[in-house]
Amino acid sequence: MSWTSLLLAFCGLALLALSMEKHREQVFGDRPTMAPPLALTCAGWLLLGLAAMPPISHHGASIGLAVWTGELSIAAITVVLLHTYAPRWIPIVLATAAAAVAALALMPF
Amino acid sequence: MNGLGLRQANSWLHTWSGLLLGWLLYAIFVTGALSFFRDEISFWMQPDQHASVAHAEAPQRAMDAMQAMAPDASLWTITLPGPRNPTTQVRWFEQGERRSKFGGQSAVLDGTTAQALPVRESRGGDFLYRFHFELYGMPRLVARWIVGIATMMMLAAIISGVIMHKKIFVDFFTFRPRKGQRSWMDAHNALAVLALPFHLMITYSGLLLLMFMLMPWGVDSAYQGDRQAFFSERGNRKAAGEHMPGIERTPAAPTAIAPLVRQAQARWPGGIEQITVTDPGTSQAVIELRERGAGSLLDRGRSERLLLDGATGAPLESPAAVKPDAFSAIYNVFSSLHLLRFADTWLRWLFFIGGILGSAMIATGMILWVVKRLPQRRKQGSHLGHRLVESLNVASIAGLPVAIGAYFWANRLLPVSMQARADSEILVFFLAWTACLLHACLRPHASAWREQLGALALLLALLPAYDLLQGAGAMAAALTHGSWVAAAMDLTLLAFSAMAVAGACFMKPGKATRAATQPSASAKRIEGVAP
Repeated sequence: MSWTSLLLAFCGLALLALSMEKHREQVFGDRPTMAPPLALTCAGWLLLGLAAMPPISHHGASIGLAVWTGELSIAAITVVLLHTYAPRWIPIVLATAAAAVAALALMPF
Repeated sequence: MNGLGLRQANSWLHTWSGLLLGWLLYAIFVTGALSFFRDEISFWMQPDQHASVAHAEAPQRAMDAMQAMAPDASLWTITLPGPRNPTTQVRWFEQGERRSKFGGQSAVLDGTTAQALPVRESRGGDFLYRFHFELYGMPRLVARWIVGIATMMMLAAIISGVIMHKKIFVDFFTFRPRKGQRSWMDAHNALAVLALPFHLMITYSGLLLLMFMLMPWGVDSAYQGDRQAFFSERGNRKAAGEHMPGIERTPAAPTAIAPLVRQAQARWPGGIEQITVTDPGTSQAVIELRERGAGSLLDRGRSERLLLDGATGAPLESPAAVKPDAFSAIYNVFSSLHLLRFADTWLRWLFFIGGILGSAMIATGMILWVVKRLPQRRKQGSHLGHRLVESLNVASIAGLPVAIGAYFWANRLLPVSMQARADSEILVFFLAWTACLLHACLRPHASAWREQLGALALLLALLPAYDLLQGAGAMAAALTHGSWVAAAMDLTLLAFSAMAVAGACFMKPGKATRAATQPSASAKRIEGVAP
């Protein structure tokens, strides 16, 4: 439950970074990408919103929002460190995180 | 033009308030972050209790143990094993004794066997927690004023920092390493911006908590100076089972606690935190069960209580839950966010990491002050003020963690039977900190960093090793029963040791001179980019 939310926050922020010109260059170099920046921005914000859902449904709005902002900070620091030290790995990490979210969502509790 | 003036004024305020109060704020942030794990640290500083594991029968066994230890007491409080401490903590008061929070007699029982465990005299995490807002060795009120003013300056520094930050969204995910001053700036910005909600919330709520102490006039005039009445009215708390004198004590067999506990656990998902028994062993006995944690910040994590007849187990009328008014709700949200009494392990870790990010933000800010002025110092020769800031930076940023490591070592190495043992642990903390200050003043800047970070790494890494040699109680409890409180602390110490190693490698010789020549080059780059 907690990990789903953290992974969603990471995916959202990574997409938001990819929607920015200079970070897309860091990750993909000159290779053209298919996703238009606007779509990445929308998807990023959508995932950030989704990330707030699990903690809010589990803890209620007051504690849930506190959990959500804390997770956003940690996800953002991870995105920054990846862009600095392993930018080419971001697509793989992003795909793994997305797969993990799906796996956690389908896992029977 | 006006905007530029505003930005420059903010920059001036940010730089100088940050420098003057940075060292104090760093200490407040570090000890505050550790205070989120205050109970866990206190437990870790009782190594003889590490093998304790919570057991489902703990309530009944604790009641039996109390019956044997204190049959004639007027009150028992039994704090059951929980996720933050796997022992049972008991306290009891003799007939006619005043019932205060820390009065009476107390003992710590094994979570499974309910045998009394040895308790070593130590302030544990409470020392760090008190230091966080009352410092040490000075009048409480003065210290709280100092911390309160520092907190206000922190709030001002955060706001002025946001205003002076030129490209907050463009640079949101940017960190450019190995570029001297530019890198420190990026690190400072990233640590500040990415955890900004946490920094704002924790500073504002800290200020709100201190507000009742710093500006009590409103409350004083409304309650004619009886501040206790204000807080008890707001908290709507009354001491459990007020004592009624003059009633004859008729002995009566106590009811079995286990069925009552099962009944309460079915009702409360978090389980029971505490059992209070008034007039145990008599026909007037009253058992109070208190819920562990609660679901919302609005009522400050206030938990539900159940009152039961101690002889028959029949339910008595329980105190009704009160819905807080709007002002109380807002105060409750912020104060409980700061105190984090309600939190589960996940949120506790998130806030701990937030606190560490805040400490790192302050540290990078103070290092930036030094790095920014290095080219000028290189041209104009050394300067006493600059040297002082350098030394104080090392002594606080690296020295405080070293002192905390020394405090942990004192807990392990000082003889258990020593007189005034808890005070001696604290003395070791301050001696180590003073030694770090002297060392930072006497050694060249880069060497001071490297040596203190190296010492920190050794201190922290050897603590878990020492515990393993002394008997692997913590590891056994973790691996065989999944009771991770003490073992998690050991792993955290190792993680911080690794970070100290990384810091020491970063400060390796030659790096300082290279970094010093770079700022001018990177400064040109910045001028080139920003028109």
